[in-house]
Amino acid sequence: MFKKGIVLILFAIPTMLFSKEYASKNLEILSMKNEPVGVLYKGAKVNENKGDFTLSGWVMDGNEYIIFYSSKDRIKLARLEDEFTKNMKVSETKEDVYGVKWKKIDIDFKLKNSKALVTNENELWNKEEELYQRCGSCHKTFEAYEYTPNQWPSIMKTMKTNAGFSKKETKAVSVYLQYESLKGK
Amino acid sequence: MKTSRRNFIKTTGILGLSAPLMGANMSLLEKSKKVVTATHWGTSLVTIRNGVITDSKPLDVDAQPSIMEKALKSRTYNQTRVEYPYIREGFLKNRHKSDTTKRGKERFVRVSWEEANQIVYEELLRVQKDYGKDSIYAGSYGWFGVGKLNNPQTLLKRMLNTCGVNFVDSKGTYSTGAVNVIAPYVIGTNHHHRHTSLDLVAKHTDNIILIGNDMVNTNAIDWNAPAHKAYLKYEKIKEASKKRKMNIISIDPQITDTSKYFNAQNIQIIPNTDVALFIGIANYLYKNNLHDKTFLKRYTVGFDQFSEYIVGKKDNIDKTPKWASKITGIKEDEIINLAETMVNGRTMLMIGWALQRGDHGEQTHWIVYTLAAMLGQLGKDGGGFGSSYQYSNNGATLYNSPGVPGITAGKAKSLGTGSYNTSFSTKAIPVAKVSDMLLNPGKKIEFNGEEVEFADIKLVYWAGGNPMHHQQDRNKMVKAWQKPEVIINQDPYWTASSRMADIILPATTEIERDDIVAIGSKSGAGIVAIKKGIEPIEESKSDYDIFRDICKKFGREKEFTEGRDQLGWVKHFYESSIRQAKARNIKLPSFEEFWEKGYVEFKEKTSQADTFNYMEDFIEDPLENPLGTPSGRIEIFSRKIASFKYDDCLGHPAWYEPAEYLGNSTKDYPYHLVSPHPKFRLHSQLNNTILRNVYEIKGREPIYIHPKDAKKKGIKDGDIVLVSSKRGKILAGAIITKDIREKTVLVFEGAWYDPKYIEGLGTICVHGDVNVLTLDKGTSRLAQGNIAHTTLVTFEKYTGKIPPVTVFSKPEII
Repeated sequence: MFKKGIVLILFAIPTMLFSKEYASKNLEILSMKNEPVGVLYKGAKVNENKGDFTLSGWVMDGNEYIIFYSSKDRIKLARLEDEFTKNMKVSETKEDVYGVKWKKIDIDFKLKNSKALVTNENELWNKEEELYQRCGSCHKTFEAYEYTPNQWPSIMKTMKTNAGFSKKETKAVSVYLQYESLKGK
Repeated sequence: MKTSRRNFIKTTGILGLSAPLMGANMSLLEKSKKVVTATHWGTSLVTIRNGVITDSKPLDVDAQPSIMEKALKSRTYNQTRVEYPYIREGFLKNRHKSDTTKRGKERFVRVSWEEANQIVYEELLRVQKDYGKDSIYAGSYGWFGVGKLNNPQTLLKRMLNTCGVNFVDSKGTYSTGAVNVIAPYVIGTNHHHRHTSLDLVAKHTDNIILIGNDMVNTNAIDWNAPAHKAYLKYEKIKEASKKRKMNIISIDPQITDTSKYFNAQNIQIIPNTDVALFIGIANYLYKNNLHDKTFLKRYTVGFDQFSEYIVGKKDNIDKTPKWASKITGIKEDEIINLAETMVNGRTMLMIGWALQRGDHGEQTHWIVYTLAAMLGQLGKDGGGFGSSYQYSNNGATLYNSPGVPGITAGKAKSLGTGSYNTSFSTKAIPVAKVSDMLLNPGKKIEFNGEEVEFADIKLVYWAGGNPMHHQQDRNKMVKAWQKPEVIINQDPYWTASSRMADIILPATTEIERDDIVAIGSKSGAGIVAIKKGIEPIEESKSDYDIFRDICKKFGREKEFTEGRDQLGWVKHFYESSIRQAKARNIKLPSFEEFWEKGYVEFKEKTSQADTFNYMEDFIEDPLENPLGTPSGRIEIFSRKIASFKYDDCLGHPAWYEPAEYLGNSTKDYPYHLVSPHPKFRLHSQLNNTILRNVYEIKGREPIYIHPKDAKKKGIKDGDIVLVSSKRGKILAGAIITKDIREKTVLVFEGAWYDPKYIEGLGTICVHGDVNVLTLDKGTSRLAQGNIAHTTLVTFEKYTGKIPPVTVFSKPEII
């Protein structure tokens, strides 16, 4: 009992010292009553507030269950159960050039494994970066900015068999490339 | 299947393969072994006696062996093999101060590997030191020999990255320069997307429209080793077409092998005018209210802008079938009939890549995607479009299989000496702009919304490709090739590219080295071992070993090899396949068992092995499964493209007059020339083998001429013909045939360039390299793809003294 307590404290110290923000893997989202209500996807950035978390993003009007990075860049940040989307706070609405209505939202929740949040974005994608090199065994690899965040998942889906990526690897590399693409040239 | 096997055996007989075999000493019945190997055109079991290949036969995993498989021995033991490292005489004497106009004319001096590697090392260092960043071009391109380790282009970059040498790269391909760029804007992914299963086509499709698509011919090759599984489906479609009414229509200036195979109806269109035809059809559908408005509203954006264009709201040109008829040479009734046929049945538009290798090639796939959306059959069984049915057996059965990873280029590393720049170059060029770059350093061109500035290149390193075949406008290119101080070419053969270089490094072919590759890029049919069956020819080395030894000079061997030898890498790749297989519940044999047997075949089908329907998920739920476009839908109008403000590529598909076509032909050059993918080669690969005897005319590449045109010129079958364009001249051998439309001639791409000076004509290619004639211009500012199919020529019977073809023997060596 005594020993376990020390270990817990040791783990707790770094968590308190650093404000960890990026999901380093897919994390289960819990309601304030600790019920499972969704998934926070790897790479999504959250703000911590006394053990609770806030996620900001964009949702399509009528299809609020997927939270995107922006109305232009459809990087999936989280997926929620329909019921839970009622807790979203809408701060802005707009219609894009294609006639789709979008809402900028914030939502608060708890995370099942908040230890898997990291502060440094650069720690996130080492494995995916290495996996992506495999594409170069057939053709010249593209710089991430050469395709948009919207295009990358489709491109990866098209090409995955050639690289021998599993479904999981395909998704992981796609998301990595989506975030890299945002950085531009 | 039976017919094709028979043909296979018949052609084998023509080639005289039963005759005593070259290089084999039959009196010595020493050790005999059988070894598995692979190429881009087949998987083979090779018989080796006394260290010499005596025979090869296709593996059973190959559903339809290609005749090209029979060239294995001829390709290995070949007059044109580069047997030792060589250096151009003037370069050896004066190094980077040599007279570069002597490239391709001077003798070669045999040197040791040690000397060659030392010179390569010194030149890479010197150029980096004297000129800094962006002075070396390593955008090396081509199909090379198959194998996940011995990929010369990736290895070249790996070597340069490992040794801290900065280089300028290339982007895109010669095959798909335009579609590669346009498809992601319109359908959100590239043209390699998995296609609707050909089984669904056999069962449900009423109208197969082949658009510049000769898939029965071009699917003989595969980016990996082929399984040729799509051919089984072609049989099915053919059978189905006998049992129920099916319209198979080939829109092509040529009556292709595919058209003949399916007994298709031919629409021999004026080359380069397909976009006008499809706009005419779109206009007809729109005006007659035959387009699927619900589909367009739900799954596309921008139809309004397009419909305004086709009825001529701005330019006052109503682009009717009558309008299209004038441009395409197809009767108005026939165009209307085609439109009615498409809309009154399940229609699959199968577009090949040939069309997008023409001026404004971006438009061809764009208009086909648009037409498919107007028909509204995407997501319905056997309807819609396929961008690449003609490539790597797309549409065949997909088996549950793991992938095979390969060697990677890695990232630029610093040597820590501060002597040269290790950051990545940002000056990558569209691949077909290589001549322009070398000739115009500092010039800026527009490309896909960006500006690319041409680097000042002092050293070119090419490995496993033959640019002196695939680049357009050979004479311009020869001049461009005189600009750099150093040209290094690494290849198994004395191709024109080897002959035009300063340093020639001899590489091996597949049967001389250990490697591994997947069988069937689009079918997941298996994995094959590429086993070293014979010792390398003379002093040639595998690409891996060549680059490893260069890294050794830089003191970077360990970083390059990561402690593995070639077989170690092969095992490393296979072990990754085992891990992937496990996750998919496939049992793979151990590496040792696999290596012993030589291949593993996958027979368990994936869930949608023969029922895959492209875009089905998008059609079911476009919000949950959006396309990768900005709107998530098919973009008939692209805001992004429109924002570039290119007058040669607007925001919607449109008809633009090509730089050269029959609609603007001149008295001097009244014929259109097309140069499709050859039947008995992979581009220029295998041109140096016995297969040449099957198709050449008097030792020259054939030219197809329509009987009426031949008659006017007094040309008979088998005559040697002088073909000329504004850019150059070649000799070719006449085949008089109705397989090509009038006023159009055809020369397959890939004949080895054999320049000779002829009094009164200047330097011409006496063997028939079609790219002496073609135009070196980009498709548009969007994609800057090559436009090989946009060429006007003239021709006449050649009456001069017939010069010998010498490109298939060695150059002068001292």
